Amino acid sequence: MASALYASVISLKHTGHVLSAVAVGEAEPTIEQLTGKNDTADEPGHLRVRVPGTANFVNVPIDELEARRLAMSSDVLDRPQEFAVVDDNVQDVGDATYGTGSIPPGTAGKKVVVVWQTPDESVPVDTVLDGSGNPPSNKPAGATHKLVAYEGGSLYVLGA
Amino acid sequence: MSPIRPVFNDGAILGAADLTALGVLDRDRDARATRHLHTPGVASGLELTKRDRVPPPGVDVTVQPGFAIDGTGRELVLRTALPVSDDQFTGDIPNPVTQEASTVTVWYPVFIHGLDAPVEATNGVMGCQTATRPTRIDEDVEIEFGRPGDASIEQTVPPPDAGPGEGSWRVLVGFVQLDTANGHFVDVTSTADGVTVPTAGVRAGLVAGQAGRVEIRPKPDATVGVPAVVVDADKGGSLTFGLHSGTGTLSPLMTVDSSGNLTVPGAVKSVQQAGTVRVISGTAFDGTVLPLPEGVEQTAVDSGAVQVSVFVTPRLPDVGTKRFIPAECRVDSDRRVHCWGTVVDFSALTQRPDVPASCDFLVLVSVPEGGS
Repeated sequence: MASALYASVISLKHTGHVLSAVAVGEAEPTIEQLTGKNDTADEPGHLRVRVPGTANFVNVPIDELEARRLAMSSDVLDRPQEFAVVDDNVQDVGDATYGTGSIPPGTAGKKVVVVWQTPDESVPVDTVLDGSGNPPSNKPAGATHKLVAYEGGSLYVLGA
Repeated sequence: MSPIRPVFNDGAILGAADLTALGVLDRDRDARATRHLHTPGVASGLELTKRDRVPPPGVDVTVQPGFAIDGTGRELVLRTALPVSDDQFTGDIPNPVTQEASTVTVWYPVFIHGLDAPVEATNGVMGCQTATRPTRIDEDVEIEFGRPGDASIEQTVPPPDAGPGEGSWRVLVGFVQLDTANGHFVDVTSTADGVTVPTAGVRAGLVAGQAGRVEIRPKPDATVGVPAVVVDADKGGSLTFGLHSGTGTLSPLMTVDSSGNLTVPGAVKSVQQAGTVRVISGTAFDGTVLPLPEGVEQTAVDSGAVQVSVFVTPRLPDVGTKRFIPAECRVDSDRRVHCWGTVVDFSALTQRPDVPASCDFLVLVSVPEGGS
């Protein structure tokens, strides 16, 4: 593992999953700066998460995100979506799953975030895994893709 | 009219008017000096305070003791606390404006003004006669409620030679809200509708120190954290802005010495000048908006006041014996990063799905010629 450095991670507030990372020396950019939130713009800031292998994205709203400057390895800069922030530390949660695939059940009651992407908007849901350990499946009309992250699991960016 | 002072001659018979003129002369002179050298307002005390009523509901409101000067130069002295009567409020303002869908009124200004109250004479005109006219005037203070908006109304300034007037000038001491459902006050404040209780000020074209040092601070006492500006003649002269440490000294936040050297322990932010370039560089992952250099606002970019140049280079992740082949690395008009590629295992001739990736970036912000 490379030597530690300080960088800002953009992570989901609810589960800690890292979606992006930025290193700019001593500076600590805000979540507004990193998501393009601009008081003069009509559209709120968001982080655009790519659905690899497609030309599609899931736009994660700024309200679901936080930016924190933490010590980390350069691996986080290269593959941030394989990490999560747990107790102010960046921990490896395994390879992200992109495009297609199934989401294995987690532990019932664990926190989960699902962001559904429709052609017009993104619809975030913060909740907990159901009694069978599954994330919510109430897909909004027109949703084409989704981002799913739950405590103890890796990140999924898949077709809806 | 120029001031006239009485003159007395030996053997002359003094009339009451002569003695009264003596008092009037001093009173007028004091008022003119006060009016021309100070701005009207509260000099000390006179806060509006509230206390829960017993029994509830509502609060009792009181004007605390203090001193103010009005716009005529008349002094308003409140020796003891003065209750603010909700009965007077409802009498003066029978149909107050209430807040939307509420029985509580909007903020109503509370003023004090001077009142000349004759004091019953205790001595006779002649030794054996009973008193018939007052021989003293109590310069009292009275509370008056205004209407919303009254707090910012201009009042008539007396002519330059005038004395203190009869007390009609109103000095704001605060604002109250009353619940029309029970006729009691519910709250007080010193600021409402963009108007704050005015403090008495100084009119001066020159402020000269007496011991080589002049200090301006917003509070009477130099307690910890109180900001101040000090012009000091010591060591050739200096101008210092800082915070009081509580020991009589200032912790400087900005100093200009006699050589024109400016010392600022914090950062200096200013409008970027033409010909200068501000830079930020680093590493950012796909999907992120690249930040701007310190001191550059997005509004300046949007308005075209500054020009932004961005350079991005794909960052090659450690993929072991495999190869990472970048496919796209750019930023869009929002400076959002588009960076992704493919990991290929040539030994097995297999390809992983495309993966998002990071890039190294350099953002340059410059001001075009003719810009500010």
